[in-house]
Amino acid sequence: MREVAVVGVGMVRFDQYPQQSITDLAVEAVLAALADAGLAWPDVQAAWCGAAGQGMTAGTRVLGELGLSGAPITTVDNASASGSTAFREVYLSVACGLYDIALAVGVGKMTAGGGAAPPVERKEILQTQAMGFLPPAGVFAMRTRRRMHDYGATIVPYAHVSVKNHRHGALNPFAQFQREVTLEEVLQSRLVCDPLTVLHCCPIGDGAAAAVVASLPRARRLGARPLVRVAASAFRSEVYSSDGQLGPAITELTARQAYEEAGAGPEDMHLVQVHDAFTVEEIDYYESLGFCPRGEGERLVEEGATTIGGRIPFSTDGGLLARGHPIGPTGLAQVWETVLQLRGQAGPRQVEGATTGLCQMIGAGGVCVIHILKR
Amino acid sequence: MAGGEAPTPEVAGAGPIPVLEGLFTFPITEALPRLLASRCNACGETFFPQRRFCARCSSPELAQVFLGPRGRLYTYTVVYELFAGLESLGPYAVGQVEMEGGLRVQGLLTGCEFEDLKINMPLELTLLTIGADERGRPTVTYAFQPAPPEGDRP
Repeated sequence: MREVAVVGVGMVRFDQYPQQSITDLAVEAVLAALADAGLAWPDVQAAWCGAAGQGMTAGTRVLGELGLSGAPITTVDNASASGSTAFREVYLSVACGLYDIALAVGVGKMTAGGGAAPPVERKEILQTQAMGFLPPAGVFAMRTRRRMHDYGATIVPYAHVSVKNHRHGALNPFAQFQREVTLEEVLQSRLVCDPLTVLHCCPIGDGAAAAVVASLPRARRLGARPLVRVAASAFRSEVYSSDGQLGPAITELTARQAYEEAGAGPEDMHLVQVHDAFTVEEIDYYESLGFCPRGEGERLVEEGATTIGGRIPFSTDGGLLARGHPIGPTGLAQVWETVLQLRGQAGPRQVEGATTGLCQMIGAGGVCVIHILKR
Repeated sequence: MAGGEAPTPEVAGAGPIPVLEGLFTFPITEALPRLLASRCNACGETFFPQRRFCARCSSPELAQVFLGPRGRLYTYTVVYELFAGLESLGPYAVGQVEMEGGLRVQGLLTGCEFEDLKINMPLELTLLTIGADERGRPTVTYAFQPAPPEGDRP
């Protein structure tokens, strides 16, 4: 496998865009990524588009707008991990020598409907009703309730994750929410699924994000800025575990593979992005990614270790909770943030001296994708 | 749970029907309903709902077994924000219940106030009407309700 660098990143602020189509959003993100790389659409040899619930062949529809270049375009749906999966595909296509320049784009308009993937088959719908229909917040409300029981915690440490990530989001001009929230606001906001209030849950929104990757020699010819390399790309689908909880176990397995591939461990990471769709998840992943022993995640956030300026900052762009989560593009927004951080271009939220960052995404239905990027 | 639905027409023989076949015993022949699960003949793992292939070892040799009727509440939530079309349900409680043998089953919780729900409380299976089919027959599913203390059981 050849070494691969990320040569361009771009995104559209995650927000609500009632007037724009997914094509409008995706094109803006792709143009930003291509401009960042100093490339044009005809230079792209292959593209993958992460899109969940955006209709058939979202990739060819949105990228065709830039010109019918003939480059092969594939649409990927892995729920929340669609953008991360598209990024892995472009990485692999260049790493294995098939292409020198490839592009990943993710796009989602969740305000147009969608949200949690609804079951479509009659049998699935009836089964969902029979077993007690749960929105995604309900699944994570149950996980929060059990963690509180197992580790003697109140809801407060989880609320601290929301406060921290909104504080980070307030420093990110591309975040959907750029306003800090207080602990009291989190605790007293509208109850969605007990014990989670709405500020424990990521918002619904629209947006797009893109990344261009190139082989190392080609990347060097493109320009001088600090090159950001893909040090690891790990991907697992669900492995059976009798506790039936997706997330922590699969993250642990995927992380092991990523650390091995990068020849690094948690102690070598300077910043981490995770699937913090609900506050309890970030705490679960502190543990699954090896930043603290099981059961000590609550303490990590309460000590401030995972805030910018702390020992290991998590969700530096606001995470899904504040930067937003239009599903398809979210994994590529993590790449955007990590690349800016490793180049030293993250402005007021810059993690000083960051050279290595990790991006983790979970996709409903049972996938985990982890990338480690290194300057 | 069934509040707000169209009134059920009084039709002779319009008894309740399971919302989906293959999830629980129906009609009930014992005091309490039981769940229909699969046990893998090759590795012994148990699954609910039933599966065609074992999730652990992929063996197609699965046998139907009965699960329950008792378990303990592993965790729970009360859903307050209701999806479009489900507003008539009002807030409802869902839990994961640990059955004998350790398997966790998700189901509706009934028969107690939300504030009385507690992790580890003993529960037993019951049936709950959650709607009606196109012919107006009430549709029922399994649910969990607080179980009487050991000594009071029949």
